[in-house]
Amino acid sequence: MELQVEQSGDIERLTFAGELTVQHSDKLRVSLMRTLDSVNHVFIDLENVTSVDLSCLQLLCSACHSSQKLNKLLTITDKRPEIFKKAIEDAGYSRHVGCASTINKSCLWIENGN
Amino acid sequence: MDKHREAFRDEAYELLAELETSLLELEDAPEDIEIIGRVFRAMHTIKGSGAMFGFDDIAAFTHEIETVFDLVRNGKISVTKELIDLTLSARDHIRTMLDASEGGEATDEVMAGEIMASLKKLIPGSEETKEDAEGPAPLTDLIDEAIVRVLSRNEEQRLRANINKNKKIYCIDTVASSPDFDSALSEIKAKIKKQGELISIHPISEDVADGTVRFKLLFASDKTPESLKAALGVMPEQITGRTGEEGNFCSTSLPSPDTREESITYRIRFRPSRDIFAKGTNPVLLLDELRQTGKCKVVAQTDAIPLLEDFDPEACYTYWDVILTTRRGINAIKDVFIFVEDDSELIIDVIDDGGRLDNEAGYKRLGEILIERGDLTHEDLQKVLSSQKPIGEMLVDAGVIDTGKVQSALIEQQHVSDVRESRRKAESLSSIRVSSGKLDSLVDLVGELVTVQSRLSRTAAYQNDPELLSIAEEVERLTCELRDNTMSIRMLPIGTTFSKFRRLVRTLSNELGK
Repeated sequence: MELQVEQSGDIERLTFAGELTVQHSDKLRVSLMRTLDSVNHVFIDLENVTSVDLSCLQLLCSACHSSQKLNKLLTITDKRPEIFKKAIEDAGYSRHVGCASTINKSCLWIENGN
Repeated sequence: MDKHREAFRDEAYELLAELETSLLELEDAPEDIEIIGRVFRAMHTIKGSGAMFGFDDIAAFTHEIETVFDLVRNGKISVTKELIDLTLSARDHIRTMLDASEGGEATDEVMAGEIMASLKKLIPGSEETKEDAEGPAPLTDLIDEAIVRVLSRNEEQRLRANINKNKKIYCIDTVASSPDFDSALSEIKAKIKKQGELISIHPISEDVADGTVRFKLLFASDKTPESLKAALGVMPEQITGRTGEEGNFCSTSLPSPDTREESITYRIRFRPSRDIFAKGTNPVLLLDELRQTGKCKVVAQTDAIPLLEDFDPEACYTYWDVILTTRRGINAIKDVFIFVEDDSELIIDVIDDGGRLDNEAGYKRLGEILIERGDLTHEDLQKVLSSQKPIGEMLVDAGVIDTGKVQSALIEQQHVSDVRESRRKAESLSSIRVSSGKLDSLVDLVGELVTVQSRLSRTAAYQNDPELLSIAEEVERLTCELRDNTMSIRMLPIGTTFSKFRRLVRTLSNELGK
């Protein structure tokens, strides 16, 4: 897994590439915690991700809940690779509506529904 | 048996026509998952029925093409003109094989080999496979193909992993009386698990006495056959791992085809243990396996996922609600979870019995489903019913239930309604298969009857006998009705005739470069 971080004011963009799998999920968790501590809006770019597993889907869900609790915003960019969409579908994570606790009932698992 | 083989041929010709139409449609819409599914299902049915009725050559050949289309279905191979060309050629070859089984022209094995070789070239990594000639041997080199053929992907992976670990592979053939089947199976499973890893359980249809069930268990162990005999009470048959001899095959047969008439819809809640990843099992693969058993909808429940600071990257917090409509019975579902059942929560409920008992038009309301599942109390439901919003939205807004639970219940509601609607349509469109020869004979007989009826009417008019005239008029009325009905039965939908020309047009266009 490769990670590139770009910060601009109160916004940070985390660009991931390569494998987003259980072997890397602790590194991903640490990165997300650090970013959510330091800025108010986190953009996650997964365009160049080549593999995603259930462990990382769970982690992104956890990050979304954590951001809500901190009253911050976590968004996955619109350019979602097919491999990521398929992982969501295979794991049954697709959603039509977001959690009631989130702002505007947004949800990472609704396409374009950040 | 000949009658069944004849029925298979009839069905296979229809499936091949459907396959051709689907392939031509697929060329125009190469990413249409539904059409890819139709192609896959046609081949899967030809393969399954072919093996069942003794058309082993057709089953084996179709299996290879089905494998390629499984990769297409999983997005690993894209649909190209070359793939369509090869699959159409393969389809033609299957037709020739069918014709040959009826005494038609012999099949061209060289061409069949070329088709298969070209199809295999389309599989990603096939070149690597060639280069890696020293790599692991195909399972069929080590184990009887009849066994390998019935293994699921998960079982195949487990088998291969054990062979790679130099474990010996054994099988046990067990017979139990039907009432004791569950307890006998549980007992032998428990014993095997103490000695090694249970890989698969398959029912056997051959040589089964009335009132008994026969099944074969495949397992891996590093123990000797003698010590296993002492532990299991029966001498297992070793099928790999003997010094100096491989492939002393355990003879088996394909599992008996499922003969259930109705599709049953189940609600499954699967909550794996937190440490399932650490045990080397990917629960998503189990869901994939479940999807292969029927029409399936899966909703992940994410409410147990903790915040980042409490998150253990190696734990599985997700659990699933699955709505599955299948003809394969509850045991096929349990088999999917056989290796994780001891550590997981698995609840399987029948929510639609295939129409044997229900006479309701629709299905339960959302609130009823959630209360029945134990996800919502009656009190909470009543509390929120006082407002006017849709029930799902109200429940989520009220914070008494998670969005995933509502989505899962809505999917169940929609799924069962769809299943019941499809069943109603199928019932109204039910048809029987009658050979065209018999219909032609019926048309001829009706033709003769019309002639005789005409003579009767003329004779009655000539004799001017009121009673005879009355009978002749009645016969005329009945004959006219019979003639009209018979003609409508013998008429073919014009689409079937014209669809044959699509392939001809495509072939001509290719040859002319247009």
